[in-house]
Amino acid sequence: MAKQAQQRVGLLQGTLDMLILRTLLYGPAHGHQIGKHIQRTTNEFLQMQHGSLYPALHRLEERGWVSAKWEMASDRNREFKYYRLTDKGRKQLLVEESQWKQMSEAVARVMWPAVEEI
Amino acid sequence: MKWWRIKQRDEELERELRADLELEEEEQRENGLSAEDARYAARRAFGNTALIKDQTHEAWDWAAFERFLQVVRYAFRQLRKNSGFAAICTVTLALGIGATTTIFSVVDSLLLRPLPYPNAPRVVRIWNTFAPRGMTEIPFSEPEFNEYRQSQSFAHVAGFSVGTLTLTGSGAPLHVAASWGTPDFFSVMGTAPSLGRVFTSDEQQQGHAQVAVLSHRLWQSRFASNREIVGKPILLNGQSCTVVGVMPQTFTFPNDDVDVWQPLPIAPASDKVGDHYLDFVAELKPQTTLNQARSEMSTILDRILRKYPRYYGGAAGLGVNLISLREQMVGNLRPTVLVLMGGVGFMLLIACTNVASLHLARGEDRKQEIATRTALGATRWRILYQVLIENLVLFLVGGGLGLLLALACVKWLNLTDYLNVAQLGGVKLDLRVLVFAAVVSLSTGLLFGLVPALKASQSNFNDALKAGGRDAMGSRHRTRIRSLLVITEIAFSLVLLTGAGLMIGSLRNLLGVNLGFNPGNVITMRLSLPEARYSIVRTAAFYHQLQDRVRSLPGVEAVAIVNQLPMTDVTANASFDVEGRPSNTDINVADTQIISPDYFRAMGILLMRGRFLNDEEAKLPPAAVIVNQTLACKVWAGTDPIGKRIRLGPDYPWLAVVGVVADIKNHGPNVSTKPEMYFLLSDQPFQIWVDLRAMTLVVRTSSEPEQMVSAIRRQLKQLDPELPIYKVSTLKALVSSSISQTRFPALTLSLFACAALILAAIGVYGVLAYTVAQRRHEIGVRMALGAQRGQILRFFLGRGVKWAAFGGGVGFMAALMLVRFMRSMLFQIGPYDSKIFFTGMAVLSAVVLAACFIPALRATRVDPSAAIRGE
Repeated sequence: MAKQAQQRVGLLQGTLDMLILRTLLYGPAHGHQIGKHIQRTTNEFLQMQHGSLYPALHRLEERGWVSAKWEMASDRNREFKYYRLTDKGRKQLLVEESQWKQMSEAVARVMWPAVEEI
Repeated sequence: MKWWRIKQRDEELERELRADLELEEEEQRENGLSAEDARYAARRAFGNTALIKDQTHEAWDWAAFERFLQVVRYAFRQLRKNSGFAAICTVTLALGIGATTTIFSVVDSLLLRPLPYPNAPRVVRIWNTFAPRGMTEIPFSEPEFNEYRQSQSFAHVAGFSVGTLTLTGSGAPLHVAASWGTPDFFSVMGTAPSLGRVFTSDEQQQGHAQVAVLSHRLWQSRFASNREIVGKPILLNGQSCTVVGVMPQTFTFPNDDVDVWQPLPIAPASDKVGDHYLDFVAELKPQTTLNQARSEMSTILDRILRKYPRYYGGAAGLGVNLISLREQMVGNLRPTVLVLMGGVGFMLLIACTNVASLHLARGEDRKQEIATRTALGATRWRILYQVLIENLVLFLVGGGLGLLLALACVKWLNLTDYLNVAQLGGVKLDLRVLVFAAVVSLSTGLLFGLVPALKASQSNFNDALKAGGRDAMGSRHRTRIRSLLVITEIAFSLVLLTGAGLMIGSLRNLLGVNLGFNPGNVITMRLSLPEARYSIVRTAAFYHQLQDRVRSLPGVEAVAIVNQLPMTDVTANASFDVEGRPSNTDINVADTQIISPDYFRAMGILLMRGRFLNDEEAKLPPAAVIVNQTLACKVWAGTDPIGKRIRLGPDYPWLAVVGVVADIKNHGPNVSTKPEMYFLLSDQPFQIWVDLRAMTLVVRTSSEPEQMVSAIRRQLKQLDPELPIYKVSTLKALVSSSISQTRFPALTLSLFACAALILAAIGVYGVLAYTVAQRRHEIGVRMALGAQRGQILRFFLGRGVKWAAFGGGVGFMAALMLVRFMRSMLFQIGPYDSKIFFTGMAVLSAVVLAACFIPALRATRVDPSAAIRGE
């Protein structure tokens, strides 16, 4: 039941894109790695749903923010589709980051108003 | 994303997902799970791969298009799988849409499409009316024209007349229809010539050298579309005449036959007040309404009446009327066309109802499929979309076929001839008709496709899956909808049947009319002798020679000449005085026929009293006349008309009635016979307003009359090689074309009614067969519990009876309300003819019961044990 409740936490529209871009800042990764990374980093709070991960990856590729290439994995003897951040993607990440910051600050101001403002 | 790379992209996605899935599996194994558990765990973690693929597709730009293609492909696959269903639906729709489109193309040509003249919306025709004799379209005289042209309501007023000319010169002599117009004739319509110019004001003056404007058709056929023709002379009636222009193809005023236009000079001081030969056409000024113009015309009429008191003295009741050009052209066809449109609308509704009920039945069958798809992750919207696209495919295919059907109908049915609308440009399929067909098929598709789609997507898939496709209780609600659809169909069919029955009754009455003459084995042809070469005396001699020559041909039984044939355009009439009675020209009016002695024998008209005229009398001054029964009864009721005398006026000789002939239907079988006088075509004719040079040759033959045409032509050619003959037709064909305005709707409505009956039968059969199939289980239980086969049969037939009763009742009421619109189309039959109403009911009930019988019989053959055990 607990797990189901976690899964219901929907990501805000566009947030997943930002998380993916941020993850790729560490270097190229394939879909599975990206999903696992986000899941682990959020302490399993965000259960990666493949149904949104892959469409998001393809959307980013379509927009030219990431590029994809089939490459041999270092630890496995198999090829995976590795996604890599492009220059355009890097710029987009900055934009989304600042937007997210403004957004969360705005939300925070409403939710937890500072004493002097009351 | 380029859509043609989708396939490649798909493979790549497949590979990516597989790689990541395998990795997940490997990781799970490394966590210590068994191989099998690891595979399941990985799959669980991944979720629905098909759904992921679908959703990833959405990220590609072409997803919508791709999904559309996929759905269309699936729709076609579905329809192929259910080819019977698809075929019935498509044929039904093609019939409905095809018929609707055909009739709409007629409506379009007659009532919607603008007339091909720039000023058309403001163009009106003007007529004298004379209420005491019920005359509504009397032409004007020259002095009247000179008064009316001063009217302030019109930008232009023109008078014109029509007649014929003989075109000689290069090639065979050609008989052409011509029109003579006053100066503003072309300005009224606003059409510019396609070549050269129209008449200058100089050319319109009396005494100016002859000029002519040609029709596009004559220019093409006779002058090989030679642009150099402008300015060249041609020979019209033997007179040289300069061509100044050519009109475009669309210009067919005053009628489609006219090939030559010439100026009609009218002297400002003309005093020929009794010569009513001018038709009026005028263009209203932009701000003037029809009613304003009407009242101004009345004022002018008063002025004319005061100006010529001697002529108009006794003419109380003379009036003037304005009517728009379109109304003049199609006014009498409007009810027919609207009734047909209504009829075809009903047929379309029946077709759609049928398709809807088929869809409903099929929707039930598909419940399981849809439930499975929902369980596999298809969203409600997706299923709705799917069903909708399937319907649209069906309706578009049906619509396309329907359009082809309409094309064929318009091409092969010769609607233009039937409806006599050549001057409107004929019936044709144009963009508007295409748009109409598209709108009809799309909107019916959306409307009748959406309902089943909504129903399908609403159903709870869990229940459907569990029920295994069998609706244990047979949902009452849906059964009721299906019954309602069937009842609607039956009601619509009855309305159509009644309409068709009334038209067929009218047609039968028309065909049964005693024409008074025998139309079999008679060939007729028009002659037109050029005035320049034929004096009155020579004309008479020519007719004698012609009749003698034709009479001597083998196979000819009788030959005659007449000025106006029955069924064509009998317009010449005259008033007369009766000897010993005060002159009463308002009452004593009769059609005037100029005949050669053998006319009655050639036509097969019976002599009731007295004798026929003979050749000897033709050589003497006119002294005898033959009248028809109607005239005899009206003037000399109860006494013997033979020997009584009449005359056409104070200046005419007295003529003794020597014979009374049977009434004939001169104006068509649906017009009652008018009084009629037959004058002998004599060598010394008196002046009456009949052009003796334009007559019709009537030949009764002993065998097929068409075979005589070439022999008669040869005789004519030997007499005068320059003489054209035209309008060659058998009398039978003339009679037949005179009733086309009844036959066409009768035929069409009957076809609609037949189609409606078939569709209704299919609908009834389909719904009952489906009900029986659905209730197999229940029937089995009932039989196992002791129900007799007879009871089962009665039960299902009873449903048919109920449908027929309800549908028939509703249809009966609807028909009662609607048939009054047909009143003007009917002949000797009332719109509420009980025999036709009840015949329609009987036919419909029989068809419904017959359609019910097979499924009902099938119900009785249900094997109880198999039905209860089997699914």
